[in-house]
Amino acid sequence: MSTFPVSPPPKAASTSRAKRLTSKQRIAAAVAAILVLASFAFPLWFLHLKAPQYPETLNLYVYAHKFEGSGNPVIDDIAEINTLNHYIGMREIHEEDFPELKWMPIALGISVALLGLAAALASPLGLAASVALLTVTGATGLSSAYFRLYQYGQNLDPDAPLKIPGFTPPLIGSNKLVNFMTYGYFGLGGYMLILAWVLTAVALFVYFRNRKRPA
Amino acid sequence: MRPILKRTAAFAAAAGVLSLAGCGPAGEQAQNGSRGGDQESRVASDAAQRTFVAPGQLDEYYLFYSGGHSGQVFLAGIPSMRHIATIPVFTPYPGTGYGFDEETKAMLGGYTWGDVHHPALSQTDGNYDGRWLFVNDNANNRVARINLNDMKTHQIMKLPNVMGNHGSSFVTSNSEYILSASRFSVPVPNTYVPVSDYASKYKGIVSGVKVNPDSGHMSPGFQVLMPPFNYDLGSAGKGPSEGWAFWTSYNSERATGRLEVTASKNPMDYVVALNWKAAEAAVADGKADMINGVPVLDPKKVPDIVYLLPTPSSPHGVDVTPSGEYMAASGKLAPVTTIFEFAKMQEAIVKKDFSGNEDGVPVIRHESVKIAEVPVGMGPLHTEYDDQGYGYTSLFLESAIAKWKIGTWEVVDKIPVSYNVGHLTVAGGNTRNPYGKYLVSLNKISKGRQINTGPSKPESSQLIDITGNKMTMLYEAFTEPEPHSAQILKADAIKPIEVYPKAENKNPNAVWTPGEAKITRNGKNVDINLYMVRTFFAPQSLDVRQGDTVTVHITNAEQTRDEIHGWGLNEYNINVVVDPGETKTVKFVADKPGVFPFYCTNFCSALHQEMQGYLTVKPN
Repeated sequence: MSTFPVSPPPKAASTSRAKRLTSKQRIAAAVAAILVLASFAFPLWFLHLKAPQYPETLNLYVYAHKFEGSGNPVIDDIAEINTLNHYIGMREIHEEDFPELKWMPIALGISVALLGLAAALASPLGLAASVALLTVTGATGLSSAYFRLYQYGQNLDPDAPLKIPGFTPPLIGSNKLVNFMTYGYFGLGGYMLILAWVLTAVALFVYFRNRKRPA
Repeated sequence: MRPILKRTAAFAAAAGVLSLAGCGPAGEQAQNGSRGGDQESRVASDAAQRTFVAPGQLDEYYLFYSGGHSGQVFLAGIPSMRHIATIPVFTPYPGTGYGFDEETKAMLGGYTWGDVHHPALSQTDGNYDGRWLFVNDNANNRVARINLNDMKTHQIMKLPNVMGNHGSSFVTSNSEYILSASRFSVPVPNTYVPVSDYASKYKGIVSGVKVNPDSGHMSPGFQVLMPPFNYDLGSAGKGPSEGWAFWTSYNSERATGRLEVTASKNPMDYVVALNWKAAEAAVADGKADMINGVPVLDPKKVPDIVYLLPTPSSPHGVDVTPSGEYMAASGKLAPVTTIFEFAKMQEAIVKKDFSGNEDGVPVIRHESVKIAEVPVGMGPLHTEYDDQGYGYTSLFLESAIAKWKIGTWEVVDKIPVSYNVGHLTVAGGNTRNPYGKYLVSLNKISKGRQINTGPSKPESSQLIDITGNKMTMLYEAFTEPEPHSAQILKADAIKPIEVYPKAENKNPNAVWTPGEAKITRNGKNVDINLYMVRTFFAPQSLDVRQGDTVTVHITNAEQTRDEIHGWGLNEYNINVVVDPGETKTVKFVADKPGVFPFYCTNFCSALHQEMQGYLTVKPN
């Protein structure tokens, strides 16, 4: 899927139909495909929770398809976050409650396929479709993440042992709650997706700019 | 001459008169006799800096020391000497719920105390491998294994035929065996025989307890019938002497009654040299008799496995040098430590250079194997070695530690300690490659060197720096009764778990969510699967009827370090403490009707006080 001839196809083919992608644009598409694929191996986003009695810090890593703690043998981060959250009446975090973890991998998988096609066939349509899909996936993912933080932080059980006003944990940035400082960051996977989106968007922009010029 | 010297020494020890001028190197003697005074001049000028472990910093070494008749093992850090934990072994310990749940209760076997003397770290190739710590019980004839992976007692094994398992639990170079020897001689098998028949009908035992190389599981191994002496301290051969085990013995007089007199008559007692590989082979060849489930070898019938080396003056410790070439044996009422050479011993055995025989055990001619007497000072007991070729011998009567050079056999330094040192331990001091650096002097008598604790006094342990030519005093710590011996392990040599991983908990009665918690009744048997987490129990109400047998399986569902919960049941004498990810079972008969609260005993969180529930027992 990702193998393609390095030299551009014969120009004759492009005269009657839409102009094909240049080799640079195809390379951009291929690199973006690899980035999106590789992003599965890294967290898209993560949350650090720091408190005096947690010198190892609690971490929640969000991948396209799963949640993970730090894998520290002395603490199960997600179980611990859930245990702590019960004091303020926050719902427990369980993977099965997040459909995002189901559709994100599919959307990203399709993006990889489209980008691969765009690179292999020098197809501007493939490139445009993948830019569109990545844009929609990214925007939906981000807003969904924000919505989840809002939803979990605002809907607190009024019978909780510790009664605090609703709050929204930071998507990016920090806040303080009781004895915890909370920090939200993009993870390496997140930056890979951003880079993939920028690469493909620039490639598409250059393609359209060049198409408007007379040959 | 000798009996007079012996009695003077014994009197001096009993009376606590510590100055015995004339019995050791002059000059040193007078210093050691002084109380405090000169000892202060041996305190390192930067001792505070070198022992201060700042908050948040970690100690460099573990010090595992035996808890004596407390039945436990204590764990301290070096160089801070802070007591960090108690590992319960032979005595119930409510602090960790030890001896309350079914598993540990069964391990204790109904005993409520033990007498732990000599902890031994497991070894591979003669060096600590960080897997297990074995300890002996002098009182009820047991050995126990602590797994260093979770620092808990996992097996307690009763030793048949052995009475007073003192000469234990030293390990062989590859932890094939734990050495064991009887302090007391009794008839074997144990039946009624009047003490008047002691010399002929009573028997001592030296033995090897087999250790499974993978699991550490202990099984009886083999035993060797010995003359009715009192067997004392042991040491395993290494390098050239690998395959041999050594113990001291006293009371070669085979005396009974007032032993301090009757057992101090002979100028020489013996070091026992056992060829354990030969003993193992003899058992494999079917030459042993089974007594109480243990293959027992009788040297009268099976020769060439065990020998005696005459050693002056009721020896206490015998310690093989790191190279495995020499054995240093110390007569507790003598002013010298006797050095035997292993090669010479083998030569003597080949030439049958024997001077006698005790119940079929050949006595090797003393002069043929002794190569030196180190003039260490009065009342030498135990020797350990550093990484620079020096031996360190504790001097009980002198209240000092002598440092001497292997090879030249010269005493090069002596440091006073307070008071009456028994064992000492050099970091890694019984291995082929000692760490050196630190020595801990385990003193038997503290005599008010600490703020006043009333008539019941703690013991004192002193940390001594052995890196320089002169030993320097670094720190003095006080412990509960009563450390006998200790071993030092580099802190980074092990990585114990801090949470029992949920995935590895195979207990069928474990429950991980409140929803799984349940009460099941079967006639008069009530089974409860109890769930604990911050900060509640599920179920919170346990309703039973008077006379029910109640079995509670308690799971701590936490997966966080130090989130420990306890289940204490009022008026039922139950406290089960469960570590994160662990499941324990406790069983009791609900014989008292009424309402009994249960609560979390191990402080867990802000709402710890709220973590409670009720057991209601409906009367018949």
